[in-house]
Amino acid sequence: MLGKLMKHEFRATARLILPLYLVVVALAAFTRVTNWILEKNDNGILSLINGLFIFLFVVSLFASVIFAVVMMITRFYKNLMTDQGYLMFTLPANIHELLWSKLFVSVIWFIGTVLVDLLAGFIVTYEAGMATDLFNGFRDLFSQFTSYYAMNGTAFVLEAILAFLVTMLTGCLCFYAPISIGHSFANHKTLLSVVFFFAIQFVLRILNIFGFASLAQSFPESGPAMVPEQLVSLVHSAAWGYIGYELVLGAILYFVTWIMLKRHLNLQ
Amino acid sequence: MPILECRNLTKHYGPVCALDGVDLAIEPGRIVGLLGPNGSGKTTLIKLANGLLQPTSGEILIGGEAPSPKTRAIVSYLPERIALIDWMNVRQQLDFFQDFYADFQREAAEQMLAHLSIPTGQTVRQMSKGTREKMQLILVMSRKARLYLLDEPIGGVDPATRDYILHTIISNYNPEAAVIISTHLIADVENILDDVIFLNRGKIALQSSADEIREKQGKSVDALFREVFKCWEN
Amino acid sequence: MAWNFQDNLPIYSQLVDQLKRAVVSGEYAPGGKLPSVRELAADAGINPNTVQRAFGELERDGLVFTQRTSGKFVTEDTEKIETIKQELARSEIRHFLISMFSLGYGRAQTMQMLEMTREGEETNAHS
Repeated sequence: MLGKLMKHEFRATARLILPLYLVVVALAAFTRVTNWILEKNDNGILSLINGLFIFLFVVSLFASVIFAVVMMITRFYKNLMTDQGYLMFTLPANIHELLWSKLFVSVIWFIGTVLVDLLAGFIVTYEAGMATDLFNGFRDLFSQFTSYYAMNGTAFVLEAILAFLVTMLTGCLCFYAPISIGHSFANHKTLLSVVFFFAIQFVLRILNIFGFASLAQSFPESGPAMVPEQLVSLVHSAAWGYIGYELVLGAILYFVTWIMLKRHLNLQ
Repeated sequence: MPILECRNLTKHYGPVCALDGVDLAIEPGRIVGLLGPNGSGKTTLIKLANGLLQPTSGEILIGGEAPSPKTRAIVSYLPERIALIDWMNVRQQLDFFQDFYADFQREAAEQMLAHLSIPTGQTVRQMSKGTREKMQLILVMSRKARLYLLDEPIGGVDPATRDYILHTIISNYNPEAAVIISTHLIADVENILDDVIFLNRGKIALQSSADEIREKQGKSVDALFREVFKCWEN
Repeated sequence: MAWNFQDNLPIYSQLVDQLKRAVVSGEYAPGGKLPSVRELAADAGINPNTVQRAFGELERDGLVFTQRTSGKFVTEDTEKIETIKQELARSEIRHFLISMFSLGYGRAQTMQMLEMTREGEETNAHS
């Protein structure tokens, strides 16, 4: 059932976001082409057009990210909280499957958006040998990390990926939870959803402050004079601390969302 | 075993009591009318059967089990609202149902769509309200389910479509399935009902076969309903 | 077959009555096959269980019999059909008399009315 839900989720969202990806890549191509032409022969009108494309391209980069986020929110709302909910919640699937299908697909689109934007960036800035230079640069960085102790490079990459994923998931849940709470009420559903969103954000900010405070406290006295090994292990524990924190947060928000949908679903 | 059973089923929305100690058992092969004025608890009962709501106390059982994804696979639900995915066209809606419901009979659905002249290329967004209602009904009735829950199936449609809907319910008759029709248009449906349940303010006011009412009371179910739920006192 | 059901009488007994009339009038010929439960229910716009019940009663009365796998058939016993016909006729007459009594016509007056009406119709037919 989860597979089928994800398939359906992709169908419903791809039709919206893929055209936008196309636009981003097209604008990148146009920018590159006009850049190239401009190099050959400078021209008033041409530089105007070029400038326009550069502007539109940059806008499209921002737009693609914003769109992915907005799509995640509206998808949850429209598919589960409006009349479509009568169809979705009476499918032979449980709420966990409904939630995870949306979480997985949203995160995949976030990653997709980043990749498409990077690709577009490459299209605009690519120069011969750039790929090899980049590759070499990463490899050097990687070996520098590994030289401290084995597995360090991979560890950082792993931590970075995990941190990214966990942030994305919890980020989605930061919206899913307040929407599901707000819609459990009979009236003012949207208003209450917004209120709960900010309430949760407020609580998170406070927790963050406490988190940083305790982190700063645990920072060893010999800060500036630390040996690289100590610094590295500190970074690792900070990374895992962050991942753990986001996981706990995500779990709480997930549970809240789940319980709202299971016991307090209020489709009108 | 009854396909739908309620044991002392109670549901509160905060201070409001929507269902109060309802006891019910519906056997397969019966077409049952769930009749009552607005706010009597009909929709609450149906939502409980679907697992859209959780009981405050008591039990509701579908084929002996509490509502779950497993019971939803054998229950075909027609909500009062239009629950179709607006960007899909007819063919995609059929694909969707076929994908999620093993008991969906696509050929039957396509046949009914042809009978009602619904073009397959149209998206739900482009359809008129009447067409959407027909579409939804076709999808629901094309499933070979064990329990059909129809919430106001004939409310918003013209008389000819009404006849077609009732005709479809009869032709789909399956002695292993039960059909529950919740409606206030009693006169139109009473001829196809085996049994009727009058629900008033969350309690069962009456439960009987339709023919028994006509025999014992010498009046139609519709007339009895008007009597029982009279809104004014002389 | 045009079905006509009143809403204040049990449907199954009305159906039994209308089916008997259909047999007696020859609409369902002796030995002929009856429509299936589902067909009849859909055609008449009534519940299949009701149709089943009506068929059951007709079978008990000996008007209808079931042949496994083939369906339900009208009896070929023309005497039986004749008996039913007479029963229906007597029932009609009873109802008619009750109606006339409620209008104030005694038995003798009712017979007179019948004669007058018959003569009147004959005169009209000849002219």
